[in-house]
Amino acid sequence: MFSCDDYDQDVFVDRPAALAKMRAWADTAAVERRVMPLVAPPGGGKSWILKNLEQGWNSAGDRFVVYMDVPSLVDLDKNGSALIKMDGLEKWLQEVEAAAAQRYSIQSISRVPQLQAILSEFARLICDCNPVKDPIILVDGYDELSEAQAEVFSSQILKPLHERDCIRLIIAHRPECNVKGDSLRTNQHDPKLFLHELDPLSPKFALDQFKRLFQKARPRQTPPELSAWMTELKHYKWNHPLANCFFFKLGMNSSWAKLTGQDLKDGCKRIIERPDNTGRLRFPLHDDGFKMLHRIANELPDQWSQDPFQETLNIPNMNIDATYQALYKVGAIIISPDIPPFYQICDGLRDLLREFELP
Amino acid sequence: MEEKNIRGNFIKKIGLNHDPFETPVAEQELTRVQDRFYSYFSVPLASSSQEGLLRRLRRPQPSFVFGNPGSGKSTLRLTLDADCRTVLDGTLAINYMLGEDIERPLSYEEHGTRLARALTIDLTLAIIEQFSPLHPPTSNQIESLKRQILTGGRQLQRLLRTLLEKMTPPEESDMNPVWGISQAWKIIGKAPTKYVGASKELENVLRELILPNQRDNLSWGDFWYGISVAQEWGFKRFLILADGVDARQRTPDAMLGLIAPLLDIIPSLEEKNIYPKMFLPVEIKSRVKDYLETHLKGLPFEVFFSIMEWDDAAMRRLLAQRFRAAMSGSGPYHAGLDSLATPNLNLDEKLINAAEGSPRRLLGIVSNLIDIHLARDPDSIQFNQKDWDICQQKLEMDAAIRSN
Repeated sequence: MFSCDDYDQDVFVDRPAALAKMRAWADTAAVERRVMPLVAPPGGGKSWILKNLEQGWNSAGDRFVVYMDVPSLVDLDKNGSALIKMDGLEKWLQEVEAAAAQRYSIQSISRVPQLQAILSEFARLICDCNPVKDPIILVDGYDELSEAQAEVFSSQILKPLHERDCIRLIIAHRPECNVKGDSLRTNQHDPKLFLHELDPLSPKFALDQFKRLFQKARPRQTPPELSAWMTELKHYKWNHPLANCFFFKLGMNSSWAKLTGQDLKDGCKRIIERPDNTGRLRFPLHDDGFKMLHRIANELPDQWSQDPFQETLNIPNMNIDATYQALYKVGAIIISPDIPPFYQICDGLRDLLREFELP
Repeated sequence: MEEKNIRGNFIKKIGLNHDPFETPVAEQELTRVQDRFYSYFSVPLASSSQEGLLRRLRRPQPSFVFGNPGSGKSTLRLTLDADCRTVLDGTLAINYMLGEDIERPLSYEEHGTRLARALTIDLTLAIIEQFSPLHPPTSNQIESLKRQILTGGRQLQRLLRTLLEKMTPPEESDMNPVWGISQAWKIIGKAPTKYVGASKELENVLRELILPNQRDNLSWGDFWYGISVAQEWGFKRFLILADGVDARQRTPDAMLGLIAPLLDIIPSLEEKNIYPKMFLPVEIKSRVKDYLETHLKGLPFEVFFSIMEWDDAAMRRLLAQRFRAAMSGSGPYHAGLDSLATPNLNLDEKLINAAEGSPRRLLGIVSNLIDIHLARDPDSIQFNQKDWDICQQKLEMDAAIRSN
């Protein structure tokens, strides 16, 4: 049928505000800060935006753009220097060098044991060619790294690429993930680009998404009218791209049977845990965590502050409660930038959690 | 020791992996927290131009940043130094500290002596940090650096010997995965800014630079030679980051007298792509401007002046960044102390008001508040009105003592 994870230009639904901002930043001749954080909750469309940007810039042909899939370069079960998968990195380097050689007159780089030296040299060679438009590296999957892993990855991979002033980075990550590496942090564009704020999703987006998915799966058929099926859900506003895709697929396979509580629970877990194509859960969440999340969605308002939360859930201190902390780690809870801050479950997920009961 | 444990336990209980309020003086903090120092940096209110302060300070022009004690001048200087070391454009930052060992204004010659050593240290560090085994140095580069390294002093030699020990054998797997061999920078009072790997090529260079017979009688000649060595190694632009002017003497005359020989040579420095970046007490701002206009006969070049100022929003960001930098992992971070206080105490607002625009004062008050709270109730992680009342009394007493 179609995959809800693999990028497909045919089913990409336009995110006009976000794309316009990214392109405007990329096209600005001299920027003070060369790291652009692209932020959205889990399943919010970050990877899709990056792929769309890559495709667009490659088609236009006037900018050297490189896509970096972080999980393919690391062993997520390892730490320290063992984190970096040398074969994965070598494969990526070869592809990038080949792409660069088509555009710039540069030699391939001798391989030495210090990979930072190779990456620094690559950045230097590119910048010495004085590109008309700054090359951009699109960094995806950074938030799958733990804090310690992110420190190493930033230090050994991203910082060497960033140290020459012609190269820019767009780093996609969840709201509660911080990009590590002080030189990257102080060079981050402010404000960050929050995808879900720029292009808040709507039922119209969902319908557009559905039509494209249906045409991909059943190109000879006319998409059915979905309004009645969609409005059977009382809280969910069809504003989560990954959830939409998951439920549309379920609907197509079940001839639009009403979504059950189990379907909705599975959808929520899918959004949070994001199994990869081997079934590995990228962001595993224990049952206790899921139960707490469900309680929060159903017993607290859309946004809450510390004291009502602690009182309602009978937790003495939310800041050191391990189950609550885990909800941040998987990106299910975000903090508003207000002072004092408010907390919320990310849009879409919160409303889905209100659609079903847990035993 | 027990007090330290109580405070340490408190810090852990509120989800932090170290105490970000322990030492609010930049240079002491650099020594204490080392590789976490730069994660504390928060942007003050820039008093001029929309361009970020760091970018503006990297421009090839003399620059003067003024501020009260504790306003973040040294933190800004250190962050600028780190920026020059991590965003590479051929700039060498030379940290020039006019410290407490200076009993009287320095002569022009004495400045030359001190600058020569400062240059050698920062040049050597930069060469090691930017070293690439893909481009081993030429024999000319090595020979010129060997001559210059004789002016680097015994601490630099100690660093080089330590690096060689770390690199023999050059087992990358034993290296700190975030910093590599640059963890050793603390020997010369610096913090690491990037990963520096070991290699046979670097090891060979370092061996050439171990020269025990250090020279003590340095001069401007050594500084200028050092500049030519730096140029040989690819550096094109030089920033002299001068700081610590008020470390010993705080009268405007004494402070101005200390830096006057440097102000006099700004035009000749600029001819050689050398630009002073001075971090100075706000008391001498108009004196410096007048001096430049009088002695340099109407500034023939553009000079950048800035004042370190912190409004409430900037102070709140500073507090939030302290917490964020000290967090154990991803998760809710305290944006300030309000999340650790009884409801409606408005503790952050009280703290920021009491700090009167000084980051150092703010951090010091927070540190005192923690101690006051723990003395009252070591097992609780919630600040209350009583804690603040005691803190406020202490602040009033301190103010009374100062005014007497």
